[in-house]
Amino acid sequence: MQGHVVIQNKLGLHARPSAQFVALARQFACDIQVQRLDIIVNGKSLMAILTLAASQGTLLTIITKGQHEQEALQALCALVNSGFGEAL
Amino acid sequence: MRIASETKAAVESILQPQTSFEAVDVVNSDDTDTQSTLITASLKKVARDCNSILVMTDVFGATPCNMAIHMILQENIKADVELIAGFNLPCVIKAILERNHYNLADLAHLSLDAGQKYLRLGSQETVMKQA
Repeated sequence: MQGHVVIQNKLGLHARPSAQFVALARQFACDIQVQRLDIIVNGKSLMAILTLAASQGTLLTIITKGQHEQEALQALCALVNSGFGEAL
Repeated sequence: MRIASETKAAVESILQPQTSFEAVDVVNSDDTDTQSTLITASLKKVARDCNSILVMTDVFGATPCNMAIHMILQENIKADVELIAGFNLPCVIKAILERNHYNLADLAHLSLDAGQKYLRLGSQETVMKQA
């Protein structure tokens, strides 16, 4: 499955939100990838997610495959759309 | 001068406060006795709860690294110890995130790989090429 999100929070997908994303992603057994343009990274690796250098307004695609892929996709999209609890 | 405690603070601001994660700043390398005592105390403190310890220092061959190696070899640390010299934030983050999933040798390699892999030249990254 895949879904598109736009980074909402002002500081973008910096280290702390990326850590939140990874912590949530690791709760699911399915494979999770995050794509920005032609770059696709492991959604369970904090350092890999940081290499996306996704600032506010960046479009990302979240790709989930395997057990509970739908729940994982929904939860991760909701987290990004919430702005990670940071200023928007 | 305070690369250890500042690195620890940076890591914990990202990943929340961590247990068995000690920082020793070598602020006065001339005072080797005090510094050695601090390094040994940290090693022994961590060894109380852990049977493996990954020590990270800055430049290989510089005083903090040399002191750490000396303490690891001299003191009776009740744990397996590996050392990474030339650490950076990706190294530490990888080690913290994966430390419960790998043995010491594998964790050390994973951490080292992350330190090298995430050292990037901005102009070679897509995000800068597009700007």
